[in-house]
Amino acid sequence: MSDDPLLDIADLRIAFDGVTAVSGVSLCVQRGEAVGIVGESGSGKSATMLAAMRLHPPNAAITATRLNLAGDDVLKISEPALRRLRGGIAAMIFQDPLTALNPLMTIKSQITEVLRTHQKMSPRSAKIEAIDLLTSVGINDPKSCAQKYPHQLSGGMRQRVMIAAALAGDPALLIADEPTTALDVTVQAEITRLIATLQRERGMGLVWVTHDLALMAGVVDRVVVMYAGRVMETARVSALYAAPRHPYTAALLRSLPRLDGQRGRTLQGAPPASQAAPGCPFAPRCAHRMTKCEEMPPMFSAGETQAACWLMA
Amino acid sequence: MSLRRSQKNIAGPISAVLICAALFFALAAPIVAPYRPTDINLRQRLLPPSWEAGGSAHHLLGTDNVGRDVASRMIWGARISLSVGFCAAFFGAVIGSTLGLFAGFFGGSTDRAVSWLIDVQLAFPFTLFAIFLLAVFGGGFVPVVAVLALATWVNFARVVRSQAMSLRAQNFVLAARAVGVGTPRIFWRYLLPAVLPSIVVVGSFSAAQAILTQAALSFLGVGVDPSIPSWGAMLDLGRNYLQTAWWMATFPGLAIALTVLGANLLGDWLSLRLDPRG
Repeated sequence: MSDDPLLDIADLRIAFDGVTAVSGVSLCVQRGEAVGIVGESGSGKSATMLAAMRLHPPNAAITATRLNLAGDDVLKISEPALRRLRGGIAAMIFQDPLTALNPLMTIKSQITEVLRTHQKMSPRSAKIEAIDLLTSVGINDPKSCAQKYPHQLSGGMRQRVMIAAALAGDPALLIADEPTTALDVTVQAEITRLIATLQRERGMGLVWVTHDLALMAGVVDRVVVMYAGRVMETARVSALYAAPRHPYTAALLRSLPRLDGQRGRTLQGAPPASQAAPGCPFAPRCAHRMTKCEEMPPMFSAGETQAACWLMA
Repeated sequence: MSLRRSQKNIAGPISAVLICAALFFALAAPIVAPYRPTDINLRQRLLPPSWEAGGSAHHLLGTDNVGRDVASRMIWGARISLSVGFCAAFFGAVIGSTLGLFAGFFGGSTDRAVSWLIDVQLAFPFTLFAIFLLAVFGGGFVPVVAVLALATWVNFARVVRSQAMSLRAQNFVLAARAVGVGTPRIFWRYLLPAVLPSIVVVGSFSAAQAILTQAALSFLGVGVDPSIPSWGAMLDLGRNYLQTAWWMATFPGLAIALTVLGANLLGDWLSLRLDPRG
């Protein structure tokens, strides 16, 4: 059991009302490992993570050869087991902390709710535990914060509360879906540091979904680059930044603003609207395009790096 | 905007006065009413209100065709009207909100079934349907409340369904599910508190609707037990004496109008008050 990877996805396909959003994504997160998923809007990164917790909307049709969380098949387990899984094995925090908290419940009740769902706890000890959790996510005055409603808190505070609620079930895997996108730049750095610290202290697995390559560099061990519902490249974070193997990854990195004052180079064009065309979805925007690209490349390995590009063949 | 604001300021006090007055008479009926509502006094039939020529100081609003005190009957009648209105709105709210929540949250075939029920209900001429049911199953307090709840549940179901649909897609519901909060708790702690303000607003409109319909049913002779004074039944009785004893129908009619006005204004005021954009 404990040898199983925390999250094991093989050949995941998702379609919304017949429109393909994710076509054949495979990825794996080991215990204690931090993985970043990078991609543009609509690349299927959020859809993949929602499916991993069976939180996808009812109009999503999902198939996968494997979709396991800590050894359990997410698509097949019973509702009660699924509830234990959610929050207990894997918890998820979302992009927008303004809307992700129940506006009509105090901070304390939202955290104790999770505590009491996953651990048989008296209201009293749940309250104490909630205060501890709020302290651990860096809230200065946890007692008064616990009595407040979400609208009384700042964006950064709310995201901290979200993290506290996610940690309340003591999950082995934390999925953070663009946790800093809605926040101020200074707060972004704080939240990023907080999540990195918590991940290390608790030995949690972490999936960090983002479109911000720079922000996650210091947090994750490995990066998965997604484009148009496919995995383009997987690599250790240092290798990816030093020598990106896929032209898309390289283009993404070039588009980052640089310290020497040069503007990043914009990636021309837009991702395909649908994935009807066979072949590499990045080919129309790719500088290294070959005739072979009309056929979808398989994953080629080079050391610890894998990339779906004919250049690697 | 100024109209909305003035409505917000005026509707509250007016509805408060009207509703409180009706409530007071209903609750204190045995103390305030000068006579029992069924006391007959054939010697004092059809007395006009006390300020009219021939009126008696003992019967402020006059007497009816068998000498019963109109004021006392109206005071007792407030009990029927208010309790029927409240109970009908309450049970309508329970049924309608539950169905609306389920339909909106689960969608799919649940939603189709509930929407179909709503459409069927709305397609029916309700008064006819009510007369039919009450004629078959007999009148009385419980049947009337049941029939009126059947009339009002649709209001709740429609509003709650649409709100539940948008709440279902809200991030905080998704976030709660992501940490393992179960569906019953989501209903109870996340959806219900969010739709409660709307339920209260629809509730006061529905109570007004129920009071009016109940009066109409009594007027048509299929209401609550005719020996219990109700405003609708008094109206029905007074209709025969409109030319000779206008007070028999006028005062109960006024009572119905004012109470319904009060409940409607309360609904207006609540909806403005509970609307965060107000």
